[in-house]
Amino acid sequence: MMPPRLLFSIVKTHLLSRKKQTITSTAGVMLGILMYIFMVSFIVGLNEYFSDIMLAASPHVRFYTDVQQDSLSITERFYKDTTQQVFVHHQKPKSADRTIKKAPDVINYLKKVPNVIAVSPRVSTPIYYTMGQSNLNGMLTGIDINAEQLLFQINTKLVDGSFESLLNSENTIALGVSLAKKMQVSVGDRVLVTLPNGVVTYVQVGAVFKWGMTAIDNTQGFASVQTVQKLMQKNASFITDIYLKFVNPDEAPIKAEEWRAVFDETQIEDWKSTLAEIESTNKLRNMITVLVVVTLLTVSGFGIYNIQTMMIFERMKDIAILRAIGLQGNDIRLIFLIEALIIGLLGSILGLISGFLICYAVSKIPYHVDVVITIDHLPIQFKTIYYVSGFMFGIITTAIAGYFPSKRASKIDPVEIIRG
Amino acid sequence: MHIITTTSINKIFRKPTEFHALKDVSLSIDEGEFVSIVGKSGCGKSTLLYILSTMDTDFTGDLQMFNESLVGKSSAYLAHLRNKNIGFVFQFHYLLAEFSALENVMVPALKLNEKHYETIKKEAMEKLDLLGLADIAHKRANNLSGGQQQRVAIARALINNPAIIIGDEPTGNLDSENSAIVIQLFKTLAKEQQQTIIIVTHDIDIPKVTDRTITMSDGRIL
Ligand SMILES: Nc1ncnc2c1ncn2[C@@H]1O[C@H](COP(=O)(O)OP(=O)(O)OP(=O)(O)O)[C@@H](O)[C@H]1O
Ligand SMILES: [Mg+2]
Repeated sequence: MMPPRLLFSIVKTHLLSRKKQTITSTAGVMLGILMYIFMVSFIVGLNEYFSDIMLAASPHVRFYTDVQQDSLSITERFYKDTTQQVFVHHQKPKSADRTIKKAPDVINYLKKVPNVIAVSPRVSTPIYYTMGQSNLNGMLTGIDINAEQLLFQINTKLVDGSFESLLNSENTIALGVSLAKKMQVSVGDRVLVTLPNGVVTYVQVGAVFKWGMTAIDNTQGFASVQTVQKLMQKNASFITDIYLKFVNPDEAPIKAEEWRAVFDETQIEDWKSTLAEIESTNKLRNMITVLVVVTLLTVSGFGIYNIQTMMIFERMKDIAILRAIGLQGNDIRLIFLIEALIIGLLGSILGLISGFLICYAVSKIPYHVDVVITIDHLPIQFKTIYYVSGFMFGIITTAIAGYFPSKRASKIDPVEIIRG
Repeated sequence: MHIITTTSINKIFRKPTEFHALKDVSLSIDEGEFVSIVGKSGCGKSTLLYILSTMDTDFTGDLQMFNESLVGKSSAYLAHLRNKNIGFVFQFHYLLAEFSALENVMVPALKLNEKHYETIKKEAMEKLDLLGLADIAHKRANNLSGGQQQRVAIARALINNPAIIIGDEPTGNLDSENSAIVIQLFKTLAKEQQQTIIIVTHDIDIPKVTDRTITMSDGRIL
């Protein structure tokens, strides 16, 4: 191999004496990487932001009881072993409490499981909120304020009032910000609520919160577990859901699987299944991003390929002279490969910088969305991995684009050219 | 002692039409010998030089250098041999257009990598000075006149003090004064440094001062 000093002096001279081509190639790579960074930060970023929010807002494991249809009616069971055909039309669901069986025991058990951040029992019921003429369909959920604070940092979502007020006085509720707005109520006001069991009562608004997810902010009310149990006319062991989180989320699916065997009368859901839904919609967007990026990189790759091929064609004489002087085919290949790589390196770095700047600028533009989640800026993600992968793509593309022309250069027969 | 020996070398061009350019060329050249090759245009002089320079390996017959046959040697081996032992001045004096005269002269020495950069630079300057080019050392090669370019090419052929210097009309573009300087330089190198010099020439005066003249005609040595 030739000494690096010679290699770099040739490379430097080549790149500097054809500035226009060098700049064009570099700009091509730069543009490709810039677009990559922007697309990934924006679209993949949006997806990840979305997933993160959904994940943060959902427990790692959720226990609940489904209203289930008994597979066999009593009549069917009775005639099961006979030859007679028995049909029961329009079978009603068994009137079963939606409570989790032996909820206090389950909660105590779960609290002792290591690496669990918090266990939060919940009591949920559909409810009508009435304020003057407006009748709004919603949910009321009794929560353990302290456990929910550990699970979801609910205090950070507070807009007005305090969650402690839910504990301090009975019949005090917290309302989602959109719900409160629709009813034109604020902290201190009273709202009439109607429960499915027929209980109608006034409750006081003790807090207004903004969860950031439209579905919750539009319909959700919170109260203490005791308040909701009382409104529902249930005893203290009536619990509809149990939420919990692990220090390490990966533990959840494993533990959930174990518990399904232990608590076989209760539905147990872990975040992997929740996320699966979100991810299937993300997949399409990610695929489009990948397609666009691959196209961009291929285009800039072809740009480099063409320019390199042209440069090699123009430098046939130089190549022949260098070979005559004693450089080997490999030396020639190295020269052109390094040139392509330098262009790739330069273009990638410039692409990363400009990509970052554009992302930064866009992330500062106010942009209000209130669908599914509430945001006031585009959720551009700034993740090191995007930049590392962008850099690698830039280098790999130019390496491939530079490889073939440089290989061709190394195969040029010097005598053919020197003969003239 | 023979430094180069060829044994019945034949060269046939197959494209565009078959053409027998060298016919049974056998010759021996001694170390320190200053040889001129003459002959009509198209008789095969350049073709022979490319074979002697090891660049053209597509021939039949044997080529020996330093008592070693070069037939079938790898291109890397031949590249190193050229770098270290052969200085070549092309008929159409080729320089690396984007490099300065000095850089052009330095390239073979940098490739050989036996001396420090500064030493190489100093020696390259000396070679340029020898050919009266000290003042244009830093000019870009493509800004030089034809004669200047040719002399830079000669300086480049000398930089590694190769055992063999091959020139295809190395004085073709030079005025008589510079031509005389170059020929005198070659003579000195052959005499004092035992460098072997083979040049093709159309100048009728040059064969008079070389040790031996090989005359070619129609692909053969007469
Ligand atoms: N690549 C080639 N393909 C076919 N024929 C060729 C090729 N190169 C040279 N020839 C032929 O071979 C013969 C010898 O060419 P060569 O270049 O060796 O001549 P020369 O003696 O150096 O002539 P000149 O004095 O004009 O330089 C010529 O007739 C030429 O046409
Ligand atoms: Mg010729």
